[in-house]
Amino acid sequence: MSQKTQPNSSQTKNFLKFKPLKRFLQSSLYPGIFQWLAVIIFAVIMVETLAGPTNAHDNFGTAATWVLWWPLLPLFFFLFGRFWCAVCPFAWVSDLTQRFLGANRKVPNFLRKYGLWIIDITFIFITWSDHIWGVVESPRGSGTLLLLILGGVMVTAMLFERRTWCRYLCFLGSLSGNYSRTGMLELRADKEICKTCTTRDCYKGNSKAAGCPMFEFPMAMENNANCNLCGNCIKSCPHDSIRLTPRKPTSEFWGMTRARFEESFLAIVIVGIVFVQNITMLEFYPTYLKWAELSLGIANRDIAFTILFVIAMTTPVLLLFLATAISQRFTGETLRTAFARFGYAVIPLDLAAHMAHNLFHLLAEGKSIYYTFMGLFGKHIEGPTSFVSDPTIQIMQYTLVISGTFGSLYTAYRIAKKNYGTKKALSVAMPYLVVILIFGVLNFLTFVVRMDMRM
Amino acid sequence: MTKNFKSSLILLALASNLLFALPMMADTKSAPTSTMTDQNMSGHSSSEAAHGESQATEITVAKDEEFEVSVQTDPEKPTPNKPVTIMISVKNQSTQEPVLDASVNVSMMLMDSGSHSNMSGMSMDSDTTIKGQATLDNMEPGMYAVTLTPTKQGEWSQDIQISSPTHGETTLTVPLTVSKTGPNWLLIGSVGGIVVLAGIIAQFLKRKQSTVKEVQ
Ligand code: SF4
Ligand code: SF4
Repeated sequence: MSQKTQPNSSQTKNFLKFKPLKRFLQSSLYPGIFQWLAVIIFAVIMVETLAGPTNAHDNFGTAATWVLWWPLLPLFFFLFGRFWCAVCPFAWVSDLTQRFLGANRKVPNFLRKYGLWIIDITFIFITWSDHIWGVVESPRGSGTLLLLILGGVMVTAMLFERRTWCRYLCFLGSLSGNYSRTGMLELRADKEICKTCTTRDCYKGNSKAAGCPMFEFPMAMENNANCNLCGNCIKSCPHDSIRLTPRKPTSEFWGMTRARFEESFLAIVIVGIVFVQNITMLEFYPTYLKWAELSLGIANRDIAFTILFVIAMTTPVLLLFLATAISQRFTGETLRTAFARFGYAVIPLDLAAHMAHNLFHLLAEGKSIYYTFMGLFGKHIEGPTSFVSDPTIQIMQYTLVISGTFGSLYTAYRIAKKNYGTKKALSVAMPYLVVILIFGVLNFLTFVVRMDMRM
Repeated sequence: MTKNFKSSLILLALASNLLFALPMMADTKSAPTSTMTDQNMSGHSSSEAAHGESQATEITVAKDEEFEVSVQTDPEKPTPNKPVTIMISVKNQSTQEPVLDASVNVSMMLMDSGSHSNMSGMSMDSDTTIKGQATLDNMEPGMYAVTLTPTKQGEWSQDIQISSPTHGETTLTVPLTVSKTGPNWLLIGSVGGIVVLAGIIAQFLKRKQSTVKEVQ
């Protein structure tokens, strides 16, 4: 196993030294109270999206999901890592189903091996289907997606052990995993203490808490991808080995020793997905699609979109491969290894662009959450939906995208430095820096034009 | 290993079921956001659409030399077999005065009901062609209203014939989308069915596991 690479500061500042916090995390209240709140809201969202008004404008489920939850999610990942997954109602359903009906079978090898690829494909499929059948702007579409996820969660919980869905199949989980790696909070175990441990309660579980639901062994954990801060290991570890520490954003990538091709691939696919989401919400998009239809000679809008979608998905991947091929001259590594290593560098930009895009929905349409909520009680309220003016939102979006671009540039440089030394770092990183800059500029440009509302 | 393989196969089959169920079962085709988004007046090309603040108050406006007509429906998103009130406001184009002496007839035809449409895309059955005469309504001067009940979901076309002894005649064609708004029970039932099936398989596996343990 590769050596430990965490920043040292993480060991010095431990939030669990703050006794009330530790007691709370060890109590049965955590994460229960957050979960219950999420479950209640989720139940309302499910009913609303499946049986409520068909007009997104009037549907509380649509507003709560796409104007509140989805925009806040990336911010959560950045601040608290994958904490959302600890309170996610689907995870709650999974635990409950498993407790009563679970066969607790071992996770099939093919899921362990190809789970991330399944997620990659599902993610692309969902993004595509959103534009073909309507998911976000159609309450029934959103309800269908939630229902299918719920079905998937229950089926896997009945058949397999722990949170198989969350770890190996949830597209949102893998997105959280990716984004939370840039995050400012990490949970790790003190390896010195763990070396002497014979019980491994954190993994196996004990009377205080079940074993890690995410199949993680805190002692061997090198990244945030799969820890959802559920607190089980804080409860179960008999040796007080768990640390909860702050860290610099993106610092996880600086010392990363293991890179997985499929994780990098997902990161680069998200570049395309975020770009598609941005472009399709711009006011000129329908005209552009019409133009594309005419110039491609295609009478069908869905086919025209599919062609553009494929181009948008493959271009970032090809650009990164190109950068890898150029940088290979200095590294001598295989294309696959180098691609896997540097793909992570785009995650800060992914996160920033995702946040920037959704910031518009949150701040320009935020009041619709209240209006639609009142609609649940038969009160029809109309009015302006924005909290702040468009130019203010735009400035915030620019700031985010610029920060994300710098974050990605710096991450690419640090990855090169760690793997090829300070001398070679800049020349190895240069092709990646250029590609990241292109992504950054393209994203920036999409925020220059006004977006369409979701509600 | 073989057991794992079997469960993988089961999972895969269920997952692909769910995946393919999406396009077939979900009633999610993103419908046009308004019920009336396009219109034309026979013999005249000038038309424009005005959108209210909320989609629920969406109004379609059409103009020709004599008339300025605006059309709205209540409810804004009609559903099959539920009455929908079509409100037609008729004004004199040049003076903007309400036209009070018009005779307004509405004829609705089902253009495309997805799987049920015939070759020409237009259905001529009695339940897919509905007619009614709009009468002056008290809500506002020059407003004519008629309540009709579309029988099926799909794209309907409304021909609105306006004839006034003082202003002449015109015909306006406005599309109307009729869609189901209730939950998609087929989808919900299918997901539920798959979950129940998985539950049965899980119980079967559980029992098998405990039998193996007992034997050991
Ligand atoms: S975290 Fe605790 S239970 Fe887990 S290996 Fe370390 S000391 Fe043992
Ligand atoms: S490592 Fe600990 S906090 Fe993280 S998911 Fe596992 S048990 Fe929960």
